Amino acid sequence: MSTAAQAAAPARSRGARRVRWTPRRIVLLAIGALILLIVLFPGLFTSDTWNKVNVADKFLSPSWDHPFGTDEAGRDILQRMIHGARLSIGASLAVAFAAAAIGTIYGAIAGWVGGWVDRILMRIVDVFLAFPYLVLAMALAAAIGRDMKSAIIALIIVWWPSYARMVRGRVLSLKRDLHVRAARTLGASSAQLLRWHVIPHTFGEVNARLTVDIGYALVALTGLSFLGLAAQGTSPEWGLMVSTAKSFVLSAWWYALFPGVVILLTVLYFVRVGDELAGEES
Amino acid sequence: MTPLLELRDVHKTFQGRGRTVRASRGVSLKVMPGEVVGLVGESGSGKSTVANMALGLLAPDSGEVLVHGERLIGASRKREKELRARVQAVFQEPLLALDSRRTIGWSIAEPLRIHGRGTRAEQEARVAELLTAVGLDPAFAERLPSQMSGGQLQRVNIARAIALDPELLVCDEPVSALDVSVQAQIINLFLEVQERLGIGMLFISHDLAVVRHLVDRIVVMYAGRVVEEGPTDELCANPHHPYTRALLAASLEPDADEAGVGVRTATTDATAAEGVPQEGCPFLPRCPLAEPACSEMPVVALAPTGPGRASACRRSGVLVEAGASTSNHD
Repeated sequence: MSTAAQAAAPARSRGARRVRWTPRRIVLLAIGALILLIVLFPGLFTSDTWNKVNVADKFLSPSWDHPFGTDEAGRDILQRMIHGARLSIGASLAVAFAAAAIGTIYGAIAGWVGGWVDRILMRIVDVFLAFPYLVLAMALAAAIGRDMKSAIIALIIVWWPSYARMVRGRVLSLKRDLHVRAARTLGASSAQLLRWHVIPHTFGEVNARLTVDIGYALVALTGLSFLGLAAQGTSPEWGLMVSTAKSFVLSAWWYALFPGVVILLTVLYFVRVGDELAGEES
Repeated sequence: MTPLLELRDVHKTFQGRGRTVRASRGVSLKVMPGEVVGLVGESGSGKSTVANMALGLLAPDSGEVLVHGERLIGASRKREKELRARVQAVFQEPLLALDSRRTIGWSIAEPLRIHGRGTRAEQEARVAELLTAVGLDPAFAERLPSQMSGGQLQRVNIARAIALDPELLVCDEPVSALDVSVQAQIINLFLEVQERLGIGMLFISHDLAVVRHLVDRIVVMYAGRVVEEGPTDELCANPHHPYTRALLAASLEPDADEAGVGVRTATTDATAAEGVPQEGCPFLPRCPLAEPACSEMPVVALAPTGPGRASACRRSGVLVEAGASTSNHD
């Protein structure tokens, strides 16, 4: 009996596919771990005085002490960026995850229920997708309140419809799959079928797009900051840093360059990981 | 006694792109408690449509599908769930019938979870018991479907189907996708399960040879209609419909034409669906016994041809007499 119970015990664990760990993937994972560490514990990498004004050190060009140079208030740009990662990347993660969650549930319901419910729900999605998303996000962010929170909300509002459309398409085909019909003959309710057998099968594609979208959300968010629609004041948010730096481009080239390059590399990283996930999926 | 499953004059038509397939044209059949009924016919004869309607996965256009005398589709959610627990299914593709993301143990425990039978620990014990009952090691519970063979997976599907102690199993071509060597094992498992549980079964197959060792009664479908039915031994020894005779010959001989039966053993949907006349006897173009008079008649209804037997053929009488004089149809 004990062996039987033992054998059945892992039955509740979800079936995970085995991942092939190529060198490239190990490098991508290591970079991801570093990003996570920086976002969660920026203090580990910086001194306590990272945000302190020190006019004597203003506009120092890159050196061993200040790899990215210093800004107009004499603050170390690298250290400020490390603290800003939490804002810029954290907000991008929030946008991508919230958009994916909302879009998945919305799209799953549309595809599952079908008929006129589906038609109405998808017409609403079409309305959103008809606008250029950045223009719509700018308008919304300006209307809601010109701060980080408003920018995040604005981006979620313009971002979820693409997930809704993708997931709906998957659900339309999944609901005809034999494993779903078989589970229905067991007596499963629609909610159980969606939760156990339909939505989990959309995760592969959703995760791949979500990862790429973290990168695109970072572009959008730093863009909104640059335009003065997101982070404000002395915040070390990356887009805001570039925005401030643009006044000093001729005197301090490093000020705009390094934040810009870091934003670019971070975006490329998430797009790369997303491609990797998409490749694994197909 | 209420039949476990009853279909009354069930019609179902599929509208495709410019093509209409009348998959079910007035099918009636019954499965009584503990009875094992075989439903045979070539691909496209409407067998699977009948299975899907019996399982409440498809609504008939007209007619009634009754489980314990009640309709599944349109019942309250609570009643539907109760009725579904009594009728379970085994499908043709054992791999596709299971969720690829879930372990075997999870899938077998799923019906118990849905119907709230037992605590988690009891469910796990029941999974082990069911795996043993279908001849698998309980350790398989932690595997994924992709890590098992077709025969093992069909055993898993059977374990899942009997988890709720149903009264009826609807098996839609459950061995057709398996290797021939494995087919016999799975058929034996069905026999064993049936004997032990006294469960009723509707066993659907295109292959009479598969069905005849397993079932009490055979229902033969052709082009969406029941053309013959009767007790297994008598029907196989002496078919009363020329189509049944052709099926029998096909299941005995590697090549039906060389056996002198003179009937193509069609295996594709298209042949059955498109080669069927819209009016009159659907089997006419392929029938070796056809006479000019056959083409002038409307469709012949299923009529009794002996005790427990019925056939839908104008010329059944010829076959009945032939059967009476010789015991071998060849």
